[in-house]
Amino acid sequence: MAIELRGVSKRFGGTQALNDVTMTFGENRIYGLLGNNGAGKSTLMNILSSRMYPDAGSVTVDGIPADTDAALGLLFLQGEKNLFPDTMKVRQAFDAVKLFYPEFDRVGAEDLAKQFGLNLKQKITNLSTGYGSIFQLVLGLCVNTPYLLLDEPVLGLDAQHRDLFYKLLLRKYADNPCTIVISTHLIAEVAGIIEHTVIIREGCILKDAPTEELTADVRTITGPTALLDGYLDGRTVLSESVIGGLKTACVQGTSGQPLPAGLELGRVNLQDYFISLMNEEDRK
Amino acid sequence: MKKHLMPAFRYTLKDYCRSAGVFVGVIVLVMVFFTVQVSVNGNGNNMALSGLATASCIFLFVLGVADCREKLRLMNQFGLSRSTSYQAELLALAVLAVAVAAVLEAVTGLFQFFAGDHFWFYAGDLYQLIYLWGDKTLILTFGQHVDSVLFNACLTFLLAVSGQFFSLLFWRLSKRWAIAVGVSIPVLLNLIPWSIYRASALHPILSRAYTAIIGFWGASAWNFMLSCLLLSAVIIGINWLLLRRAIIRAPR
Repeated sequence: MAIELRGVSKRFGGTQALNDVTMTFGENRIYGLLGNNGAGKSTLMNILSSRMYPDAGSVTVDGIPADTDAALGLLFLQGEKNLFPDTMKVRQAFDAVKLFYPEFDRVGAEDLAKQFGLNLKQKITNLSTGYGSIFQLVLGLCVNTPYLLLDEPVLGLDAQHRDLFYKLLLRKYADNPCTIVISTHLIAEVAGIIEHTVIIREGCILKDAPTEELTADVRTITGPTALLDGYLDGRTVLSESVIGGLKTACVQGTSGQPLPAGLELGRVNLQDYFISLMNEEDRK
Repeated sequence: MKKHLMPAFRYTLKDYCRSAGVFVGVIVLVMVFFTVQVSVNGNGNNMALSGLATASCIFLFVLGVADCREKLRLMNQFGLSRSTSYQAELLALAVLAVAVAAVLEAVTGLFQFFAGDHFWFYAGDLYQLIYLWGDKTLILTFGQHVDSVLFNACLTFLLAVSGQFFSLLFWRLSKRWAIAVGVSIPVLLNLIPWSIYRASALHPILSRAYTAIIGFWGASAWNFMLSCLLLSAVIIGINWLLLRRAIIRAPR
């Protein structure tokens, strides 16, 4: 039971959006799909939901080709842009979703709409960016498909609503486990939620591992520049920054090793790890 | 049968019926207005209402243009494949074409009935004008009404899938090509009939073919209906090729 991509490539004119991507989104896990702008995250999401076709490769959902009703019915994509008609109101959309997703929790959706302050009588296209996102999130949280794809789910949401969304998402996951793929730039906010991280860069999968595993072997070391430079010699440095006389370096493979006096060891969070990794890739 | 085809068909048809209700309402209002106008102004002012088929052709063409992409987007959001959503759309358009034709035929029949011997007021339709030679005194039999409904339905269905074709074509074309095609359509619409006329005047074989086609259509409404359905099938095939790999994205 998984979404599987095998050798998926997609090109737009001169841009290679995805390049021979092979990966799996397994059952009942929360995935973070991270990458810079233009990395290929949305293209990947759109291919999974058959909004676009790959130039090469194949996508299957539970072994079924992704462009079939049987596969598409298993997933729900909350995209950056909504595909609902101009004239449709929120309540009408809830009614329509129920027709196609029998597991859609209509009562729960109305309850969530109330919690977020979403007006059911409003036309979807008249919703602000934030409420447009909320509308789609409500659908996503209540649709109860085995796979939920969230592309920039908190776009335009204020801090209070973002917090509410993360809580609701975790509650939904606890009550009704499913595979959730979150594509976002707000890494620090989702770091505590995602169990597995996929980092994509220039259409290629750079990292695909459990989140804990990714950051376990990476540490920040801070200390006087001259002392730290001596220590860093011969080590794998992902990134460095200097403020005044103090230097901070993100180093891979330091766990368990004693540090010289004057240097301080710190844990790396997912966002710092991501930034360090991107900086290292930029330097290559 | 595909699991989601019927819900998609019902949803699409319900949506179309809302638009069709407005269209039929406007048509009835127009006919009532003309009736009142003629009754008030009295005899001597001949008035004919024979453009109902044309009006429904325009309505379904516009519906095909306006709704095709919207439905594909929505159905994708609801987890339907392109083939299922397009099949549902075609089914809904076919049912709508028959329903609109039937309602307008009934409306025309009612007006013909009430107009009675008032020859200065004439409500007819395309089928009657072409195949019954526009005989204003003629009261159509039930069979002729059925023929008229089917004739209008086939014609409007052809126009609806043609509308979809233009919508999908402009969806797939780049801006430059869209402008080029947009400019060429009115040019070709004028040039093609003129070219056919000129060519048939110059070449006897073409002239005979031209006459044969017109004769074939004129001989029986069923010939024309068959041609409409065949042409619709060809256009549906082209439409499928256009939408099969199209990128489904939100409107700009």
